[in-house]
Amino acid sequence: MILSKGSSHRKISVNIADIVIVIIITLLCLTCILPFVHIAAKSISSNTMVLSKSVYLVPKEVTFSAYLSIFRDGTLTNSMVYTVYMTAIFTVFGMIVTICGAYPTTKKRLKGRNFFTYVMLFTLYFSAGLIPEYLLMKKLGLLNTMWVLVLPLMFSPYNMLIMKSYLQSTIHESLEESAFLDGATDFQILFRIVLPLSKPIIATLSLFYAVGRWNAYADARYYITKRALQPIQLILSNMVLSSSVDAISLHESAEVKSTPEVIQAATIMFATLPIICIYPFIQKYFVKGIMIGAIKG
Amino acid sequence: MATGKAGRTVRKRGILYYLKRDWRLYLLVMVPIACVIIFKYAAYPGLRMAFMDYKPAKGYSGSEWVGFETFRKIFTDADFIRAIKNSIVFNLLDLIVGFPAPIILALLLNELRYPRFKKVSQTILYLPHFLSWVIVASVAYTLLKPETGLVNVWLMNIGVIDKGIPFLTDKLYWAVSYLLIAVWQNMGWGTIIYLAAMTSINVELYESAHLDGANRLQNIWYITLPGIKSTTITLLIMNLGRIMGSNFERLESFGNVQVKEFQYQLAIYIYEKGLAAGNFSRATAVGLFSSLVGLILVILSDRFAKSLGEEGLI
Amino acid sequence: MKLSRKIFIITIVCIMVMSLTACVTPAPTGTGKTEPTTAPSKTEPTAAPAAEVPGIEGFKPFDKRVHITVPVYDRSKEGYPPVDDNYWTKWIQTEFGDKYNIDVEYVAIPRNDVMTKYSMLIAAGDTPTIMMEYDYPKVAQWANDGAMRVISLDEFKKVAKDYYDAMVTNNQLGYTDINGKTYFVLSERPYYNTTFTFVTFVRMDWLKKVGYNQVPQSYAEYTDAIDKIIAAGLTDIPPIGKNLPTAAYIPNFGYRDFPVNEEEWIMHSSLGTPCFPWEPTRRMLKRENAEYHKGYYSKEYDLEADDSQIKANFINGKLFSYGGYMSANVDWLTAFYEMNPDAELAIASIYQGVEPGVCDAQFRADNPFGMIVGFSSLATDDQLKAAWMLMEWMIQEENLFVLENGIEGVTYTIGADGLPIVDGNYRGPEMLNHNMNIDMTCLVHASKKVGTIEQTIAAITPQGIPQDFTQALINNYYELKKIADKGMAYSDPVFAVAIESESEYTATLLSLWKEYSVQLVKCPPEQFDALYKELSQKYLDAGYQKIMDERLAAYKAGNTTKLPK
Repeated sequence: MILSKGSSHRKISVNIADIVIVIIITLLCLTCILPFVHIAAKSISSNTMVLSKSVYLVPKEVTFSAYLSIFRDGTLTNSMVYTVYMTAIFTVFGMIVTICGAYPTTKKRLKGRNFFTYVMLFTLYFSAGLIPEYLLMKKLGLLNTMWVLVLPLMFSPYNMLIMKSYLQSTIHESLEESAFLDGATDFQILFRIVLPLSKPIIATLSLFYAVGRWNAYADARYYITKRALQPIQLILSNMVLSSSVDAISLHESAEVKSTPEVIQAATIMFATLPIICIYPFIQKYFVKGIMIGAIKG
Repeated sequence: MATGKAGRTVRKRGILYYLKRDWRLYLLVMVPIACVIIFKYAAYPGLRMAFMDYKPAKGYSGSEWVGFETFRKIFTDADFIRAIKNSIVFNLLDLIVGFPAPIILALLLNELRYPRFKKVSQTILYLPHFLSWVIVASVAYTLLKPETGLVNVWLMNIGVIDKGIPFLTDKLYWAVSYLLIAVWQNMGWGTIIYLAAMTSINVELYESAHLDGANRLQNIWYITLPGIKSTTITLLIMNLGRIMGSNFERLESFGNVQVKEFQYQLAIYIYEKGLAAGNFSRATAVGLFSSLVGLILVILSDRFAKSLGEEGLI
Repeated sequence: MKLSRKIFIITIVCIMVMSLTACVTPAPTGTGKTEPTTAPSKTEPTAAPAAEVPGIEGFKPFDKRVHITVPVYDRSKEGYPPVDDNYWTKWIQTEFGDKYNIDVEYVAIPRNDVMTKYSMLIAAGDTPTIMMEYDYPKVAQWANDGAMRVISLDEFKKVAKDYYDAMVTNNQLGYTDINGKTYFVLSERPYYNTTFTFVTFVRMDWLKKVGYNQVPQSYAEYTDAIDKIIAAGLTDIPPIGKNLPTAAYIPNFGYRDFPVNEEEWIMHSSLGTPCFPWEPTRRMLKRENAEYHKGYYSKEYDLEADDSQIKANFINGKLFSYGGYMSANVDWLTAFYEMNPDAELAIASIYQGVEPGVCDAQFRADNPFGMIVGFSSLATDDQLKAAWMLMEWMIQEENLFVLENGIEGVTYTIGADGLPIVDGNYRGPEMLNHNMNIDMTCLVHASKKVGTIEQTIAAITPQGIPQDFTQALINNYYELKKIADKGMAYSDPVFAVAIESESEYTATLLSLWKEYSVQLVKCPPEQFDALYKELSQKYLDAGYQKIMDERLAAYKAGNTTKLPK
């Protein structure tokens, strides 16, 4: 009702700005969507048309054989299931650890909270580098297990900071302190007051964790040798990277075919869709918050 | 460090008092602390390979100590100097161009009044983030080639230009494309954090501003921007720490020989002269060096922010 | 006060970490059993694959289970089962492993990052029992860094008799040593001295239109034909496909003097480092520069890091020629005829480049070996023996046949000539991996052999296209063989010592070569010589001089192969 009331007398002054904003956003959206259209068009065109590079935005000689062969093959679908599973575990673990780090360090009464924050943040800027970390994973016995993709990255200082600053600015200390003085334990405060108020940030960070894990494959390239444990993005990137094919052919003096572009395109679509699909579910939470602000403003 | 009331009580009460009172909090905070100790700090002793002539087959114990020899070699290596220059210049440019973009976009989105349109456009703006650099680059090349790229062909057809623009083949044009494509890829995704911060702005502020007759720009300037200031500063400081790092995948996929001069950055150096050449000591030494520089920058900028009265990072 | 607070904090941290580490670290369980790391236990062999009877007849199962790891290239190709766990790895386990009490574990090595992966495996102490590569400098580096075990060929002969005999037949014993110690055994490369599997096709229909009824037989004819094709407007883009050189190998064999100076050959001829400052390379670039300015190549050719655009242009009927390795199903040929049903192709002659004083009909023969196979320095005697047994077992005709053809009636049928015809479209669990399981059988040879050379060629002649090239390919083979018999096809030198400057500078030199070659091809012809001189000097200073010196020193010390004859 606020909306209808407001809009009636704002119409004239606001519409021009609105139109400009809509136009800008629409243009930006177009640039974002075109590459996808390009890849999607390729994925449902015939191999001959793609090989001859005549597919831009409209598919030619439409066929779904690339997708069929992905499903028939099974390797990619297995890897997809595995990656979804791994990403889900990662996200849950990540959120738990992040909350564990963010919540106590917002408490002014916690002795040593600055020290703890330093200990956690230091790792953000000072990393031992690929090789020492790899040797550490070896020592921990994590190489070639799914856990090597989950545990080392599940604590993200970056996400913890975001969570922390959200808690600091959203949840009034007085609210908590009074609950504390009323005898509520920190756990009770956390579960009954803090977490319910943090839904937007939890949704956002979960998305960050999920997407970050989904898109990352550099660690898997070095930590995982077993094919069955490789995430789908690694398989995808190996498939797309064909720059060294020439050199390889020469050494083997045999044909080294790369995966047909159609299949590559179909794989890209296949590997991207799941992560895009979860977005609307999460969006619900933080868009709701945003919209309250927007409508009333 | 804790000050004021809390600080004074430290002397009077023993450790046990705090442990007993706040044991739940300590228990919670130990989870991430254990994480970083096990998975990050435990790797630091491995940095000693930067001071060794490390041979994979011989391990730490079998490899020779060489002191600062690796560093000496690196700093006298013209390639390294070139790489470090490029890294700093391009990361600064990335920061200047790329940092404000999501803020502006978030402000625009925040001003949108059509919920459905907003929802759809947000989803679309996030799309580029889901594509890896390899894919982004291959699409970019298809579209931007000087003679056969779709963009140049269109521009030539409508008569804006009569010769293809070397978007990705002339080093100056390349620098612009390289930066803008990154902006394009991250802009939408970057808004998430700012939009989330904007939700936490008290709605009453807008309402009272409205009653006072404030217009949109004034709303943005006096309410929205101050409302996301702390988030912005936090992110800015964090980004400063990455001034030496660069994304290998991004550089590798946008590289071509015409632009090698600009594209040769630390990540490429580490890969070419460290990993691919089997020289782990060098890779680790360069990593150590850039970590140190990043760390110093963060601490300095944090101090600076605090001296201006901001909350800073820590 | 400050100090006490610090102590307080640190104490808390310590207490907490101590007490929590145990419960917070989730045990790395879940997937797979934790394998007992195969430490180099220097125990004496537990069993008796006794050496009384050499070769496979003397094999006896080990008393204690022996675990070996074998690398297999992972090409991440869609449509194939995982390379490290599929029907055929299981088949080897049941047919070979279980019989002799050996666990054979395959380790996937990403084909586009072999060296990094191996280095990391070595660093982690997970070195595979067998280590192999096609590229000599790489294995030399492993041997040199202590990652490989010194072996005795006499011992090897006792276990893997047939394998050893094949090495003798193929004249490979000269390549087993490095730094005076024996590290390697070598797999066979059939027909190594003719490169008949790589074929360039040209547009015969275009040639006919400009007055040629056969493919050009000299460079004069070739340029004349191309000029006429451009003038006649048979294509709207430059007619020759060229891409950025991505490999270190410079195809300058034709431009070399014959016979080549042996010291120059030692210093320059290599797959690993681009031999930019060498006269043959200058000649080659000079010709490419002239061709570029005559409009043969695309102005943006240097953007093509792979040849996909060139392939696309050829398929679209816009290029004069395109080349590739032959197999029964060549997708670009199929696509070409689909797009250009009326076109006619012919196999290009090697003589089309020949110009007296500039270019001869010479070409690069392959190394006389396929994989160079060495063994982990961490391997125990038992593991070493088990690895040798695997090799000997695999080289047995009956085992190799199954690995390369699969199961009769499922993955292959017997053709009219009694030879197996593998069904490339079979997609069941028993399907063969990349190129008929080549990444497993490369342990014994680099390509599948089928009967006579004519039969071999027939097996790799492209099918399903309007033209039949079987006879043309056979003729091409004999033409190449004639050149090879004159000694005009030879390989690169092999070094018995590791050239350390190579691993130090090669990556830099490769990227310089890409940069310089483009500059030289594109520069105005009158500036070519000055620019070449200037860039050569820069290139030498960037490390190439050191490589040349080190190679020459190795040659003078007698640590290299010599030119044939």
